[in-house]
Amino acid sequence: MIRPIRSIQGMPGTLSRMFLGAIFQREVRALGRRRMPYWVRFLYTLLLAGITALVFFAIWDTSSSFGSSRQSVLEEIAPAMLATIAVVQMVALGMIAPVLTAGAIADEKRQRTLSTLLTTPLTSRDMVLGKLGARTVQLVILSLVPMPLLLALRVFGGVEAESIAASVLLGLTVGLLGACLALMFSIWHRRTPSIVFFAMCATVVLVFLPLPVMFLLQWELSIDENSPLFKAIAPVALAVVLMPESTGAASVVDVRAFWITSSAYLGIVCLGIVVFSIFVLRGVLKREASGMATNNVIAKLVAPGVETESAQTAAGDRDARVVSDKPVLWRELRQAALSSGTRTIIAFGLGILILLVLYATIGLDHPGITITLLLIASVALTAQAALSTPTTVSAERDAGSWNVLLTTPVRARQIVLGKTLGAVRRLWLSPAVLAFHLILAMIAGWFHPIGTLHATLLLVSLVFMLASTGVCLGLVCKRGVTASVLNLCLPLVLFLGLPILIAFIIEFRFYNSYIERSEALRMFLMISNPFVMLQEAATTATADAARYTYFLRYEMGNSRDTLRTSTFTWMVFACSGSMAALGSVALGIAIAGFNRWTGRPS
Amino acid sequence: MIEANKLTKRYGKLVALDELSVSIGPGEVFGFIGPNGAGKSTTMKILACLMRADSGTATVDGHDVRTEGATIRRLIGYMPDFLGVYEDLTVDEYLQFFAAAFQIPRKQRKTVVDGVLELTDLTDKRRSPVDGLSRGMTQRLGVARVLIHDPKVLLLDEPASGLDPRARIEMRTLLAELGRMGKSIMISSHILTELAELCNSIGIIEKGKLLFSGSIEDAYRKAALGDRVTVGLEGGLDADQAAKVLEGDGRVLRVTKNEKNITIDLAPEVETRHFIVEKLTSAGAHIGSMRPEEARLEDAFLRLTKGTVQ
Repeated sequence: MIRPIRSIQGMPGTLSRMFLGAIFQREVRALGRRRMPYWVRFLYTLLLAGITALVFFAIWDTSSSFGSSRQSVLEEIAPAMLATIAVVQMVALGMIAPVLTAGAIADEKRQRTLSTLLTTPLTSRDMVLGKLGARTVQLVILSLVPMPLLLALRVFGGVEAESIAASVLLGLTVGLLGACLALMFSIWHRRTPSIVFFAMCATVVLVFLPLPVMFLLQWELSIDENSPLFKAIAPVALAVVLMPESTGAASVVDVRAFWITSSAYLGIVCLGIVVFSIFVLRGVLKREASGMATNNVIAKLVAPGVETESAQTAAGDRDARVVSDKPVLWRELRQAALSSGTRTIIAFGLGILILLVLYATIGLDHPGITITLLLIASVALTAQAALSTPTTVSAERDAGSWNVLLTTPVRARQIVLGKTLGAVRRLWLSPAVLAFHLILAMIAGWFHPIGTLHATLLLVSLVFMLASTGVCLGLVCKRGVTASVLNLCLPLVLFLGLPILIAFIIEFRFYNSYIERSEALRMFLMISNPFVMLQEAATTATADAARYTYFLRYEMGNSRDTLRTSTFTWMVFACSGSMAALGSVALGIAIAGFNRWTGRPS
Repeated sequence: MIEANKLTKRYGKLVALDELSVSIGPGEVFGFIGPNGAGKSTTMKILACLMRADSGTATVDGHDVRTEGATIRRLIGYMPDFLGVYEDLTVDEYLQFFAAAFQIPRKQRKTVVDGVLELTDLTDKRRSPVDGLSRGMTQRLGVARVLIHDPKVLLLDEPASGLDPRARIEMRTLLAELGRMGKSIMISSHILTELAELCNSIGIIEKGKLLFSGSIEDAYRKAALGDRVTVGLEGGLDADQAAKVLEGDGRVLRVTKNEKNITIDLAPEVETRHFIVEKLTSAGAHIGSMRPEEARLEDAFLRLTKGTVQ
């Protein structure tokens, strides 16, 4: 029986609500019964073990080859291991926390249990703090996973205890930030993959935000760049300072300044988000109590009691559209990129506004702007495609319309292709903003048109691949968030994990063999990674745009040879072709396995 | 029209259906009754080609559900217990969507949609967004959707659940109309009085086993249920004395005594009631009122099932 403990003598009210209240106890029990947290812990341990093993063997090989003693080699390895763990923890917990937290309020809304909570004396503060507290426990467990290894580094490698504490704290605070953001987005959205996407994006922005702010202040106000506040406020700066070179040079006091200010920054941000979330949830509960719909919360909070224009339109009649002979595709193509058409237009307008601000401050002719925009857009598009496409199936399952669709004679091929194409179309927002910029840059002569062709091919095939695998995983996995996370892991493994693994193997296992010098293998690694290809395409198209020569010079990685445009274009074809082929295979699997996974007889 | 033979379905160790056999003829309205978790929805899902049975066979209009799913989908209209709708569409678009899914030619769609809207009394709501409909309207839309391709068989899983009394009466009228149209209907419901009015035959299922299948009269017979008569006494004899007068009669199953009246449960197939008046009056009882009640499906259900919930 769940027995709420309202307050414990000597314990502040907020903490007792967070860790001892009814919500906390229910959440901890529910999370304990689910498989996901255990899988997350297992995979997280595997990831940490894999990466640290790679780093260990890499450095061990090179250090021992110079004839150093065992003790000195261990002391050399320890800081690098610590830095690796710190960075992996920061990135991994920043990604895991939104996945763990995304369903916090969204599940209550979907299962219609929010109104039941209204009948209890629980307040919005109890709910937010209780749900966050349960996730914090999970994050603490995860952040303690590498503790045995860290203690070994302390004992055998002589790493400072404070550096170990700083590395753990870095991961934990970034994870907590991700959890707070996911909780906040969970109040607004129903679909967990959308919550995960928005929370991850916001986490990246908030972790990196102090850096551009610091540069802006330094530039505009001429504040001393050696100011400790500037150095320390960004969590990424703490990760950098934990790197071996920095640790060797910096004193303990420097590390202390970094972790204290970084944690304080993230702590304050988290606190702000929690307070805001409590405020927003209170509004939602009030609306729920008065029988009003809970969507468009912000608008209703700003103007309580006044229905928005879109809500009024939704309540009224609409002109009927004519459904085509392919009904699934017809419906999928008519769904808005965001939750409504108005929001989509606002988001597009915001994107264009940001571009105009960038043009005004940095200038359209700045060589870095196109490359940066292209890379940011491609990463955002990848995350969006990976996380949102599996929901095309899971959302129907959640809404209860999936079984109804399956009793119609619509074939598996029509459903799978319709959902894939619809998912691809809904991702138009960031490519549209990027296209706006590229067209301007081409007209101004700062970007070569061939670069646009290369970028288009690479991005379209990347999105197609992720949409196809997303729909396939959406059919296989019952929970949308599981499918989304697996789909997000796919590009991470293909374009990050695999090249790193191959590079390590080449560098350290075949150190003196011919493979190390094999340019073909190096080029294969480049071709298999669309982000590297995009970066190469953008860099060259920007640098050589003014000359507009037929033969551009593509310098692939460390290769001293330059490539002709036609050769590079063939490489782009190969890269995008392989992604399109992978996507097609995923679609084929989805169609072939449709009846098996849905339980529908042929 | 529907033939299921020894259908078995397991979810891990749980046996959802245990060699269930059922037969529904053309134009028959078959009520499927059972406690929650008895296996009603599983049976319907297997017949709707949404789930495979572990063993056993089932046919709809002679077509095997395991191998001829595509053909069967055109023959049946399935309405699940929880009806999900596409909230981004209007009523008209929603029905058009399914008309297109059932490959009804575009030129005929408007006529078909108009027809089902009229039948379900939703014509006024055709331009309304689906997410703005009330629960009753949504259930009506669900019925309209299953009728869009004029199926021979309707599988309706709890179509009246969550409806207010008025909407329930309207739904019952609608289903009676569909029965008159000659469609074979398999309907599950917890509101047994409504099923008794609507169905020609019933099936009672518990723990995945079909305990009874046949006409409602057969169910009463099997449950040893006859009519019930409540007699109000105004003097002459008290309830105890009146009960003693009737207790030895072979036509009387049991007599329940209250303060000033007695309730007499008649044996099945006993259609005459005048002997009650004659016997009581000749014994000196002053009868104030006599209220006959017909056998109730709830009683038959309670007698035939053990009341255990899986």
